[in-house]
Amino acid sequence: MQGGYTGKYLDIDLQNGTVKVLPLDKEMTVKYVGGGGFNAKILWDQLPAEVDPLAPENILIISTGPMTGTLAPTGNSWYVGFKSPATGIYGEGRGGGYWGPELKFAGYDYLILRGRSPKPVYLYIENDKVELLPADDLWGLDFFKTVDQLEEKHKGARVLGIGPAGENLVRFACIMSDRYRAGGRGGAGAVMGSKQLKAIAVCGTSDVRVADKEGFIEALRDANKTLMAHPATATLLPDFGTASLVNGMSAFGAFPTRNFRSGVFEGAEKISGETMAETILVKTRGCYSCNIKCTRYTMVKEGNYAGVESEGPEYETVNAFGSRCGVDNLEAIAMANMNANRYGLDTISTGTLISFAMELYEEGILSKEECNGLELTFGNHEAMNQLLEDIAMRKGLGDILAEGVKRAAARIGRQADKYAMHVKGLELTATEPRAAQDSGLGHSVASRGGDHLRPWSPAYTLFNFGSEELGLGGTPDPIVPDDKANVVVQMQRVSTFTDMNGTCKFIVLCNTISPSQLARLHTTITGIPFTSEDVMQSAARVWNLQRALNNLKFGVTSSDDTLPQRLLNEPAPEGPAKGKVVELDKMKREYYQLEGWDDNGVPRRERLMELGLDFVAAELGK
Amino acid sequence: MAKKLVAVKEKCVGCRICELACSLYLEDVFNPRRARIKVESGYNALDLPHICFQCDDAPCASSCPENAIVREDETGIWKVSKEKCIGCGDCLDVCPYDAIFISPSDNIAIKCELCEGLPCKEYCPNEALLLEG
Repeated sequence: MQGGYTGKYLDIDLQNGTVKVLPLDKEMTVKYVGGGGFNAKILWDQLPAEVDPLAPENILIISTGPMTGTLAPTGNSWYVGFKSPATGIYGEGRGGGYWGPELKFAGYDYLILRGRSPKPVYLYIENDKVELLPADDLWGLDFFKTVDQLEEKHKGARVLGIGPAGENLVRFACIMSDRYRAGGRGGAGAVMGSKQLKAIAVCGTSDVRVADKEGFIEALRDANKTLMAHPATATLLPDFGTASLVNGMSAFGAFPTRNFRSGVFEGAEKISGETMAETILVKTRGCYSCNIKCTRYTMVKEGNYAGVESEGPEYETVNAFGSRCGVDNLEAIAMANMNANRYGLDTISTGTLISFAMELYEEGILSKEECNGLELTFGNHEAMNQLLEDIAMRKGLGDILAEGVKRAAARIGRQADKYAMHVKGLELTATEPRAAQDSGLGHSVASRGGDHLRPWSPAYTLFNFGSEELGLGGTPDPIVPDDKANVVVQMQRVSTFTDMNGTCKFIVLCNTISPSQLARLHTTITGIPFTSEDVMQSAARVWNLQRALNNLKFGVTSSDDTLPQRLLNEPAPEGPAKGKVVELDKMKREYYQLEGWDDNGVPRRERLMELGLDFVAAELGK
Repeated sequence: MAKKLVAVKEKCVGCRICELACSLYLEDVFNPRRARIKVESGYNALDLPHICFQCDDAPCASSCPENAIVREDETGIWKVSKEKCIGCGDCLDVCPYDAIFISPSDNIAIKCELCEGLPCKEYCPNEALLLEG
């Protein structure tokens, strides 16, 4: 290994407490790069297809990329891979903060966690010392207290772990790190909880090497120059955080409101990043190695929510606990955000579940009694915050909602599924697809279910941030389906690569850093020559491997690549997309063709061979 | 007056880019434990860079049993002699600013010696480091 990678990983069996230190395979780095690439390959090779996601046989991988722990912009990411208890398919989450770099400094590229510990434990890693220690005193504690105790006990350590939601096997519980960072989606926290693993504290003193220092400095200066010249990374994110999107998205009619009844929220201004900066923002911060610094440290100083302090709320969270629940009270949203972080709940899914219940209550499907006695109308932020706690602790209605919106709707019956906003069991995110058709396609085909980040194509279709290298120019029309498949494919590649290389997606989210800039950073750090074509091709390889996992191991077909009926059949009631539904079929056909997938949504043999996935091709038709 | 780097703690965002840049430029690797600057973070979003202020009356130097920390006449910069330092850590105990460290690679004391170019300052994304004097 020349640079970037540490060259080692840990394979830990929680059942019998054994720890193996193993060498990283060179082929893994060349073909799969890291992060989500490692996760997909390991799950393909080692995960039994039929396994119950919450059974000891599920595998939990926590990986990094070659940029994690380097000076590459936003080189801070850790990635979890698992079979998702929310969806039953490929599960992945990405977190920032400080934990990922520390794992590299301790000398490891990734961890594989197997089995179930007979008693609650936590893992302590300090360079060569790797220990499973009793966690009886930690079990039941919220994540903030867990961090406090472990940081006190292990000076200099960084902490990743779960809150009570993970322990209670809430199917959308996160794995958290560094108090406020989440590997948020798909229920990795429940998998960790099912293994009786509360936390992983890590510290280390070893080097992460760079293959070509002078070349890297040149590539870095060039990348930083681009970041500091682009409005998204130079102004919007540092000044107003991710919530800088709120006003724009609502103006585009793309800001999901009241469980996707609409895409326009009349209270957007009150919960925007601009309002946050004037009210509860205390300080701007940055994750490890981040020069974009979008983190908001916030505190509510007076009123009913006085004392609430956390980082965020982020854009997705503002939408989930704000407009989707009809709430225009930023302090109430900050409270829900803080408690989601403490309990270890995915804010996106939690907000979806609460707004789903609110709509069922307003439609008369759920009675007040069934709603734990709460007056669960849209806009009732006290009820929202109470229900959040009930979900984490699985109380009453909370116990049903803790199963995720797909299962909860089935359990409630009474046509509740009409209001369940998800794809493949993963709750939808803060982009209204009727106002950004590409986003509808992206959500419907993404490898982990209803996913907004692979890619966040509205950066181009709504905000018009194009890319010369990707051939995305001009002024796209977001409310027509034409040419959207290509947009999704192109941006998805770059997005997927940042789920492999160890950086944050925000360096590419608005087509900021180009594929050739990513290639130069990658080549100079690792010493493995990558061109921009290699960036796109390796991302395509990983994307197709994730897809094949879903098709061949978990039974995903074309009929699963769909959207909730509301988005396909109910015209948007207001805003620029008024009267529009998502025209999914046309986009999906074009997308399958561009990806080289057959009518059933399975990658074709030739495509798999071309991507070097011959071992996958060999499984086709079996 | 000797030149020195000072940190504006209100501007520090806690990203550790200074640590990474320092270790890359001076040690050719990424390793915050081999950096000559260290950011401490704590409650209420405290982010505080620790860096040597090149004190006139330097307790690190006076506590050193090997006289390994010596002030350069023309610049006023305190420098650690790699040959003399035995890594006892006495200097860490007395530095009022926690601005001297033991490197894990060779177990000797390291501190900011105001290198040429000051990569920590160059790469800081929020102008939290200033050169004075």
